[in-house]
Amino acid sequence: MQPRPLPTLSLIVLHEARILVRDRTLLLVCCVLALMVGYGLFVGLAQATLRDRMVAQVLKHEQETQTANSGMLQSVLAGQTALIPFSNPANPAAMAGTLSGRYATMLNAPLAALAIGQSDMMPNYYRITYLSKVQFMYDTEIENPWNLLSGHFDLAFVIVFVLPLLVTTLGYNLLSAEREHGTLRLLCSQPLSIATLMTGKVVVRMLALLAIVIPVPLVVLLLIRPEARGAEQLVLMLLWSALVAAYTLFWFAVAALVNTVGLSSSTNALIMVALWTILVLILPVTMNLAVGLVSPAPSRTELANRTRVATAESLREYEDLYSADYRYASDPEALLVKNERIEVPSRMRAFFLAKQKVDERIEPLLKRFDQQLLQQQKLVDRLSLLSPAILINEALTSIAGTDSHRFLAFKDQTEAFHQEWRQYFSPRILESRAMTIRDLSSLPRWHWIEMPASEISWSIWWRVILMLALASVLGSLALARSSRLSIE
Amino acid sequence: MFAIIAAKDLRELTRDGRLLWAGGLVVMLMLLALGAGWNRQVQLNSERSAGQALDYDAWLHQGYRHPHDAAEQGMHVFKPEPSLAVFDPGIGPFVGSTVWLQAHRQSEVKFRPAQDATGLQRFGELSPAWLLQVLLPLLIIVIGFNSVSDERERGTLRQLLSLGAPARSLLFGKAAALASCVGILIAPVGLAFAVLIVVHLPAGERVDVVYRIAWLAAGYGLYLGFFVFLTLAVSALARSSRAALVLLLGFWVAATLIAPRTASEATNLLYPTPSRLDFDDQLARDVADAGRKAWSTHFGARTQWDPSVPLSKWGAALKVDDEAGYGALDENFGRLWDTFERQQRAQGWVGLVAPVVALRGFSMGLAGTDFSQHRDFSTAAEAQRRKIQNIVSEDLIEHADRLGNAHFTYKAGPELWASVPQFKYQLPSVSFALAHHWASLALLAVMFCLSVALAQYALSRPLMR
Amino acid sequence: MLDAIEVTKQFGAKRALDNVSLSVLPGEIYCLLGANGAGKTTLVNLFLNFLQPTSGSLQIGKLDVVRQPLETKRLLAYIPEQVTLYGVLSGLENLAFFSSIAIGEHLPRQRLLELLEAAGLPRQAADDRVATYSKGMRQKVGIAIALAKNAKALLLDEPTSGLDPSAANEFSELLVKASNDGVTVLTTTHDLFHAKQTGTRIGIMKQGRLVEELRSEEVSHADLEALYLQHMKS
Ligand SMILES: Nc1ncnc2c1ncn2[C@@H]1O[C@H](COP(=O)(O)OP(=O)(O)OP(=O)(O)O)[C@@H](O)[C@H]1O
Ligand SMILES: [Mg+2]
Repeated sequence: MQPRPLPTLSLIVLHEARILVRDRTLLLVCCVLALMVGYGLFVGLAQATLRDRMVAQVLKHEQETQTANSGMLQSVLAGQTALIPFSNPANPAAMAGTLSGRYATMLNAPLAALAIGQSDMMPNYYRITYLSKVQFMYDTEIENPWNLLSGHFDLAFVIVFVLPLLVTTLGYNLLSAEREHGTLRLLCSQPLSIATLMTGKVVVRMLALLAIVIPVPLVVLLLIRPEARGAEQLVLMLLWSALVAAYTLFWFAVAALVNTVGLSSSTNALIMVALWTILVLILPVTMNLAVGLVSPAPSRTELANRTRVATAESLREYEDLYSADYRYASDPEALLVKNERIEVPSRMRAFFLAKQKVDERIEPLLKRFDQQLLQQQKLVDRLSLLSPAILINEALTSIAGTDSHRFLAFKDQTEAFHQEWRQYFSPRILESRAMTIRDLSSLPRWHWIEMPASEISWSIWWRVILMLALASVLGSLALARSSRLSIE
Repeated sequence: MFAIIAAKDLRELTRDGRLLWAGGLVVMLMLLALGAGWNRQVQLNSERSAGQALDYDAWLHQGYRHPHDAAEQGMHVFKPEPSLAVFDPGIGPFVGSTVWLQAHRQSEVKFRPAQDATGLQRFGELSPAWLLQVLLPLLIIVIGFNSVSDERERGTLRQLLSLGAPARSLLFGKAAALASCVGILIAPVGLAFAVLIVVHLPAGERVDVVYRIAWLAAGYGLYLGFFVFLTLAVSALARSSRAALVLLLGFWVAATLIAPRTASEATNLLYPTPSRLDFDDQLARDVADAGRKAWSTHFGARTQWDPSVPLSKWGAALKVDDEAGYGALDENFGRLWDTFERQQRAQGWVGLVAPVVALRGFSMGLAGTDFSQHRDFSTAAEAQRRKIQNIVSEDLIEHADRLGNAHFTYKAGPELWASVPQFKYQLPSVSFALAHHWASLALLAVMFCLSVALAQYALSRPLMR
Repeated sequence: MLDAIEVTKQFGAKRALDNVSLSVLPGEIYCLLGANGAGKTTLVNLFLNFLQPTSGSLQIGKLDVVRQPLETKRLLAYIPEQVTLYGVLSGLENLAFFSSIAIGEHLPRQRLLELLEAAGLPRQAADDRVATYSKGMRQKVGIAIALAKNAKALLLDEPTSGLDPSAANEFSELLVKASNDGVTVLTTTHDLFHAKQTGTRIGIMKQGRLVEELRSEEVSHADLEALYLQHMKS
């Protein structure tokens, strides 16, 4: 056999692979990672399915109410049903309120299973009626607060928190083990630079980790979620992979840098854990605190006070309507539709108008609050540059469509739709126009407008680039230091 | 002997850079957390009590109005922050603080701070409790992982034992040294904070808070003690310092980071939480059923708007309707909240491998920020709402008017408003918390004893080797 | 072939090497003697670029050690006092790995076995894990690595310490054979007898300085011992 020249790097890679396989650490770490990735994915899928089912249920509910309403309206118009003021579909005020089966819904993004993010707390549907925003916009999904506090064991958690620890396990003694063991002297008497040695070691370990953490979730998603197969989703998956790879690389670069200081394995492990604690645990919670201090959340007590004042004012304003003659119980005939007109009971008209007034009065305050929240989010976006963990978490949730941005957009669109809903009924209630069968099918419809994919992918791309830049700065620092490392 | 070893170890530890750096960081964070928490609490509490007073004032001076419309304006009540929430905010960020008590709907506690926060909130809240639960065990591990193994590697352990130092004094000397390192870091800050809190309280609440602080100190003492002895045990059992470090760090990660999440996922599967839609549907159906039954027994009518029930009977009708709903509300909300509590109780068992889960529940409970105390507030708020509702209905029954269809022209005045008492919520006392959380404390004590036994076993072994 | 030019190495306040100049010609076996802490290992480490000189320079075959670390390492082979290898791999696998790094190509199994045999490792031990080897066996794998490299210069740090007498003898024979093939050898040792026996030149170091250089054929055993002790005392 003719001997064939080999690049040193691939030699090191092969050799390291063999060593790691033989002493079983790699196997152990990979098993742990595979287990966690599998479990995290399972949790994510379960949550996503739960939310899918909720939306489906809501839509079914909507459909049923609509059918019931039109059936009811037909029989009312035919005079076959006894009339009840609050559930008469011919009455626009009832349609706008108690009878309304309209929901604003937001579907899961196709990759929702990758990160639970805010989806366990923020509602993905709102019931739309003429009620004031303060009454329905602050409803939340039901979840045990203790569990919210603990957080979910989802894939994002595995990546942001656990992956760096596994990198640490594999990398804290990249060089120090060889030195303590004594093999470094023999290695370095060969025509081999420490930079090459370190690169080879990192490549093996990184490939092993990435070979589990990246393909497993993507393949599972592609198999069981048909909606994840679109071109846009494939781009997002690519981004996701790049992000995870960059984050892993960052931690390996840190490990390499720590190893070039030339301390013992134990000390290296301590330094790595300290860095992990600071970057992943301490920095995010400190920044959360800082964000709260620099840009405090709006005072909900103030909102409650303003709501009370606004409610009292509108009660006073429509006092006449509230206390008007009320003859519908004794005289149901009054509720009949005549010439496409219907008498809207004045108390119902008062409810509608009062709620509308409350919202008008509170609007400036809510605007200010939204502004404040937006300010907070902007601050977080900027601060995330300081901590790789925050950076990666924000990016992962935004790929999964479970980030604050998307829920804020949903809230905004819902508010606009709520407005539209009221405007549709306002003239009908004021002019006492009865609802017709045709009206029922032309009620304002909800359309969720998805956030532009290009915007998301752009914001993630530059996070990937930032992460890579950070990793390569640390990595080249490590490589540069390695040439001056004393072998002693 | 014991004191000599403790003094020697303490000197070694204080000369080591690890304690200085890690300890300095922890103390700094602790001060930061306390400062920010204190500031927030003072602001929130003053805001809320002012809001509450204003709200009641507005209720009293709402002028002449149909009682039912007064219930429409309703009343806002605010949950007071327990004073120890600065120490441990507990589930605070994930439950609301404000209830709008209106007619005909069960009031829900709204405005969760976490909803107004960014995604960062999910990383956790920088609170003194978090520091003690998560970072201090890490600190103990970092400064203590080699306290036995290093002596063995350097050969000084042989020397010590050959001089006749009993293993027991060696263990407790080392434990005392580690514990005093932790003590030096947290005791001054903790004490100063405790005094500050107690001094700022009205005299009536002081005793209760002092008891709470004492129980908290006991709980955290057991928890940190567990880590001290565990660290020593592993340090003695492991083959090398490096192995001890890796083992201990692995345990720390699994116990403080992974176990709580896994536990909450698991109990969610065991006792599933209903979705809001399901819950609301069920509630609406139950309320409607109860209402229908009540209507037919009291008025022989099928619906509320039956012509056979005149408006003059509206007060009585409302009363029947509301009271019929109470049972359904109690049952549905009771079931939901029981599910939450059952989930949490099931997680208590995880405390057997991850003491942080047990401690977290205990700490929240004693700080007054756990779910049972939140439930207590929600129940009180709902009771207030029913009180308003009943007073309104009674008034309407009393003034069963002869106005016929002009029923809604009836106006009640300030005397009626004044008959609704102001909402005064008294935070439950320390015995309430202990009744809910004694099991966690017992569990912590058991874990502590186990770790002491393990350490004793581990330290008696090098003699044999 | 191996040249140290006015080399000084300072560890903080401690001067481990003080203006040492030394030159080993091709085919020579140069033995460095000296008390513990005299600076022998430091000098070897400097040739390997494990340490950088505080002043002065070192050359291997006219290439500067600091400026061309990889090129100079291609020329030399090194056997440390304690040869440590990868315990989970067999002697053969260790040799395969190191030799392929050293020369950039895979050697066939047959050739590797020959090398191990030439180094004196029992044939049946070649496929055992190194963790089960004795110190001498590991040393022999180290020698095999050096042989595989076909180096122009050999750097040895107390290579015979811990070897049994016959193994030490075999080793000396290997050295002589290598030098006959034109390989330059620089070795440190505490064994005056072997230094005289195998070395062509002998240098004595004391407190970081090279205090004596002589050709081994010029002195008898007794003279060498007397000279050495005299230097140590003064
Ligand atoms: N990395 C280092 N840091 C500080 N001082 C060192 C270092 N390495 C060696 N020294 C000092 O340099 C001097 C020479 O050490 P060296 O190891 O070269 O001696 P040696 O001649 O090889 O001794 P021995 O015969 O014991 O192997 C010693 O005094 C030693 O203490
Ligand atoms: Mg030496």
